[in-house]
Amino acid sequence: MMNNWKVLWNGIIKQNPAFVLVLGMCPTLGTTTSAENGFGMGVATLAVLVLSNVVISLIKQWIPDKVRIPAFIVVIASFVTVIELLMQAYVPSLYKALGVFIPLIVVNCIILGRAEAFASKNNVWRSLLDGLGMGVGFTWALTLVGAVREVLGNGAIFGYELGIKSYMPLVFVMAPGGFFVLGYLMILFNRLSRK
Amino acid sequence: MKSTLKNMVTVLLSITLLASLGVGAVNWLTLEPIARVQANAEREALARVVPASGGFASKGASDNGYGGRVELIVGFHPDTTIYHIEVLTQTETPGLGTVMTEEENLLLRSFRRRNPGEMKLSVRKDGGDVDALTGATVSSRAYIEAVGDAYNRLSKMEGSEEQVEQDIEVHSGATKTHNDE
Repeated sequence: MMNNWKVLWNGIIKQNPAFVLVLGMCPTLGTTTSAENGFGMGVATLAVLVLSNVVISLIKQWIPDKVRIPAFIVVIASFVTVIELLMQAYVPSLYKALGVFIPLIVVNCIILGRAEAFASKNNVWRSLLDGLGMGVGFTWALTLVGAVREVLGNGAIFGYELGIKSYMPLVFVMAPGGFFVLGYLMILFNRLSRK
Repeated sequence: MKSTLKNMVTVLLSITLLASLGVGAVNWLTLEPIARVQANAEREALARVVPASGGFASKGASDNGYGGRVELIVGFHPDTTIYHIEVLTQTETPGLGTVMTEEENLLLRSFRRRNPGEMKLSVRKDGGDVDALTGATVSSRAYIEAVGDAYNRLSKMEGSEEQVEQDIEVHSGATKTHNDE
């Protein structure tokens, strides 16, 4: 049995959703055209992940095995819709930047994956820590991928121009560049974390 | 928990019922703030696109964006040259097509102080007068189409009404503003 501290750190490094579990590749590739977009998507996912983990862990003993997946999806989809509405009403600028990707959180494998693999077998406190760890792990991974793509493709970081834009190949901001950057970062991450 | 028809139906029914109640409540609570945010955004855009010395504004749209509909508001000088353009709604690819919402982007610079009626309204690749955004030709075409739409609506209004007395007139979806400050 892992202690609570390990549950939290698990998602951040050892089982990082993007670099190690390779879950949630659609948002990882689609939203990381800049560091800011990657960060925003990561935080939105983190919020849904923590909420859904907590609720699923609370209601797990009443859910019959055969209908657990539809039950989880309903919980997750409701939280995503609620967060989308709240963002639209109270942080319109962030919603403007990420609007298209928010509904996609429903089909993010990490959320259902953690509900199935962790929250449905653990208590509320540990599920909360797992959601937090996985969410933070996903957020820093997406921010890093976004930052690398922004620097290589647009010569900027967090929207701050470095004055080298004209020398940079735009392909890194487009989809093929996303695959390149993610692939090399995975190699680097797995190399470094093996030690 | 072991599954029986009875507990499966009961559990799924109660979960969906609770979930829809929750989502419905939040939807009801955010209805007004969301409408306010959208109205504000439009009003602010309108104030920014019309020249301080007076002019017109007209809305235009295109459904041919990379991610769907592109809506913008175009501000004109009294001689119908373009003063400023603001994008109201778009769902283009982040980092590529979304550049159209940024200040001083290539599209906006191509249009500034020019009369759309005297331009070839297409991207350079298609033989037109407008510089497309890098890597976002489809989004650029939609933007140009929407500007053309705004211009057409403005010219239609010009033809049908000789004078503009009120501050804001709404006519077939286009807004005409007379700004005296």
